[in-house]
Amino acid sequence: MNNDEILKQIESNDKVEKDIEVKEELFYRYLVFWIGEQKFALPAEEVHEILTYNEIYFVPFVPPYIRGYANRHGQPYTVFDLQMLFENSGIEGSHLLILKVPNDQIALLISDVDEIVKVPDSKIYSLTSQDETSQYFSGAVNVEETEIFVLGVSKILERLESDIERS
Amino acid sequence: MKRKKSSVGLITSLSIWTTLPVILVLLIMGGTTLWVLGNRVNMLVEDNAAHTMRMMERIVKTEVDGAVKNYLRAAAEKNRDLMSFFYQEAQKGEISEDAAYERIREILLDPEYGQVGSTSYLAGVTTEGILEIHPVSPGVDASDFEFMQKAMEMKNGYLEYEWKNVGEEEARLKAGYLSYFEPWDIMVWASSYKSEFYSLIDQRSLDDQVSTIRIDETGYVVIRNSEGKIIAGDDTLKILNKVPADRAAHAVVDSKIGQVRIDTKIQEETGWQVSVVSPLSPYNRLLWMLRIIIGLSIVVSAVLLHFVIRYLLNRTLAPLKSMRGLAERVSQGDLTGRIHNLSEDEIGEVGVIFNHILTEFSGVLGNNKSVIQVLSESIQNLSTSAQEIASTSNEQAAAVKEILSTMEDADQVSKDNMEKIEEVAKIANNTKENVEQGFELIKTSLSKMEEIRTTNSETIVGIKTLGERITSIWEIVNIINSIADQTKIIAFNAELEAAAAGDAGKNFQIVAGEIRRLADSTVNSTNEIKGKINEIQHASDKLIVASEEGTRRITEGWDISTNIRGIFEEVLNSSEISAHSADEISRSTKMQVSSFEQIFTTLKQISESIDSFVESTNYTNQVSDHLTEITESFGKEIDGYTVEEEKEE
Amino acid sequence: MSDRDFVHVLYSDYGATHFLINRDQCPASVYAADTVPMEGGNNYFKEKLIFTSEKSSEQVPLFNLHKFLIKLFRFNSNVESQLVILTPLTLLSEETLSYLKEGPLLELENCRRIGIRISSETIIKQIPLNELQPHSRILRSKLKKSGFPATHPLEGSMGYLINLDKLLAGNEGRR
Repeated sequence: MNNDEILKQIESNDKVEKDIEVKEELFYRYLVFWIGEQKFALPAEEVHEILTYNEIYFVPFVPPYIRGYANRHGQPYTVFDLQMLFENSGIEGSHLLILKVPNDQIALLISDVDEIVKVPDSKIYSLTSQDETSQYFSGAVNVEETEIFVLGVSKILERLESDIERS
Repeated sequence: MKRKKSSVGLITSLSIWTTLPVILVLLIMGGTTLWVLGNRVNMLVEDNAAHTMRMMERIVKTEVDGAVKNYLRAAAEKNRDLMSFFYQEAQKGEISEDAAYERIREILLDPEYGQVGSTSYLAGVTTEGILEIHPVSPGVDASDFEFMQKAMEMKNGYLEYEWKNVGEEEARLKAGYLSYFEPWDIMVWASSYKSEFYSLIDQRSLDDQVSTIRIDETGYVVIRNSEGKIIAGDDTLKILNKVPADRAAHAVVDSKIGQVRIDTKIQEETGWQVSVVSPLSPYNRLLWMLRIIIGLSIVVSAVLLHFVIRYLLNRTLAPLKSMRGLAERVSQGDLTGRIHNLSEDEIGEVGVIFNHILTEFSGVLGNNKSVIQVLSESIQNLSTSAQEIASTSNEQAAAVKEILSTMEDADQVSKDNMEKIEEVAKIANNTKENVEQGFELIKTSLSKMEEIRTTNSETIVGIKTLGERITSIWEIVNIINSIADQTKIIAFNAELEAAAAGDAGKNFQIVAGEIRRLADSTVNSTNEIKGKINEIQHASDKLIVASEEGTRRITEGWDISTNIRGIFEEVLNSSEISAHSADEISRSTKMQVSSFEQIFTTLKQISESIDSFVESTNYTNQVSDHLTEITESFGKEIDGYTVEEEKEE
Repeated sequence: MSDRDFVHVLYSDYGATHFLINRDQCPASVYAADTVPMEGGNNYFKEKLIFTSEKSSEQVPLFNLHKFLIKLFRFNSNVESQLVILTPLTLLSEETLSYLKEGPLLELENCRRIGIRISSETIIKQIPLNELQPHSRILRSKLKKSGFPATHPLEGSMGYLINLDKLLAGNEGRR
């Protein structure tokens, strides 16, 4: 091969790669974390910050899955223990996920953070069934051949609202 | 600055371009007006001059006619009176009618007396048209002539007629006066060529009339004869010498009162030249004044209009100016300005949009600023953590080295121990035969035991120190682990922030991911270290236990030896040393030595791990430096923009 | 709201939690040594104070807020409190007064004030208003109704503002 042929070849390769790039799909970022022994996920844009070693202060008149308040920047954050909500047993969480909920201050108690993954559109699934077990999830993502449920924060908040109204 | 000029230039050029058409129109109107006025003035002066000229002609004609008429009338009537006189005489009977008629006839026919003018004469004509009394053609019937018919009808009065004498080529104007004497039916006829009487004209009267004529105060009329001599009027401006006297002309000449218009006409009859001098200067002055006024008005209007428009444009475009000023500030990075006093028109709308854009952009920048702040803090934390790690690992390395040297000492000591114990064992096995020697030997061994004990205590102290060191390593490792955990969390938070910042945070996101992986590997490393430390701990614990065991046994041995010494002192012959104890000691010491070997190897491994760890912390330092650079450059860009400061929480 | 706005409060410290009571709600305080048992009260209205003067004797029922809070927030405390603050009945709302008069205050004559037993670890403080925060929105109405209208988050201690009026008439006060 002379130089011209080589050049042609590599230029066409480049073009092929570019064509391929164009066909790639959108990626979305999810934060994967542990609550107890279970892995869950949240879209990265719904999470503001991860905090460690925050003290949780007891709050009366609230359901048991509300562990109390955490003090972040001089503001009280409602702390959810989702294992308490799902299985009626609490976790010894050491990390708090500060969520981006408009007009409120909400945090999730979690055991540990796993990773932040980029999930292609094709591996994001929304709910198929509406039964008891999936009422708090907005869908699932497939990460390394494992299905991880994506939490539906608004549904969880609705549950809390209805519990408070009834009490 | 160039830009400023163009905005001023815009207003100037706009006001000039709006003023120009108006000026143009005004100029056209003014020019047209002046042109029309000029024309009208010219026509006026012309008309005036023509009118004066006609008037002058009438005056001359009247004068001329008057003079001629008077002369001829006088002649005719005088002779008719004479005729009447003679008739009266006849009536009185003084003379006969025929004689009377003959007398008057003689008189009329007298060549001297009967001459009228220079070539004409008196005559008597009947109402039938017969030339009764006539010097040339008496008795002729002239009733065919038109003028004669007219005279027959008139009987009295003045008439003019064209007459060609025999032998003449052209007819000339004749004037005649009739005076009728009825009794004899004779019209006394005095006639002559009119031109012969021109010299009779009362020049003074003519002059009086002409001199009083004024045209526009300074204009006048002058009548000159064909030789150029002034007959009437006065050429006060002395300008007629410029005009030939023998023809009609219209000219405009300069004089001491300014421009004047001279119209001359040759009077047909008399051949006199009538000159009408009309001053143009008042009109010229008027026209000039008008030109000046109009010109000034146009200029003033132009200037006024220009400034009014300029003022209006300034006001209207003022918002544009402030917008431009604001845009300049923005281009220089100052986003705090807003446009105030917005008008309610399209420009105001633009201003509103402009303000909105600035607020949005400030918000975005503000967000970016706060993102940068968070990033800076995170990086700061990272740096601090990395530095802590670095210093901790340095401490660690130092501690490990201390341990190693302590270990070397301990190892050495153990080896010494080993030797000594072997000696003791030998001695112990030879006690029976060598009691005294044995006693001496026991003394020796006791002192050696003393040494052992001392050394063992030192060893135990060393081991305890090792235990403390291990505990402190443990603490250090825990600190590292917690730092790694914190680092991991910081990296997660940074990645989250970077995700929120979108494209701007992509680079940082990658770096944050790297940090997280680094933190993960740190945790792995520390886990390994923990594992190792656990091993050491176990070994150390076993060692301590063994050492304590050993110590116990040494103490036992010491006690027993002391007892034996006592016994030997009492008996001097008992020389049995617990070979078993010595063997135990030997065994524990061997175990000690092998434990030391283990610890040694493990510590060396730790040292290596720490060294590689120090490398990774250096790498972390580099990474965090890099991050600081990125954040600083990003922050500098944004710092170029000034937005309103957010309230600090 | 300028930084110079303060509110006078009674600040009761229970360690990781503390409580603020607006001084305006409780103008007076007294050391409650001699109390007398009260009949007809509920769990927390068990005693009363009697102030005797020349002309009359005033009966002041005591609400044991200290015990109430220990129970509600599950504190580990066995310490009794000796401090009582006094609130005139005129400062309470219609609803609260009618509830109290049907309950603990039913048989009390000449009752003009109500006493609240609070922790002895109580001091008077000036709190800047900008330190108070509303509750998390989702919990706000419930906690407000129950007598805790706002929070006072501090480093190491979460504080609650107490509205005595609502708290006395709230559901929990009836237990």
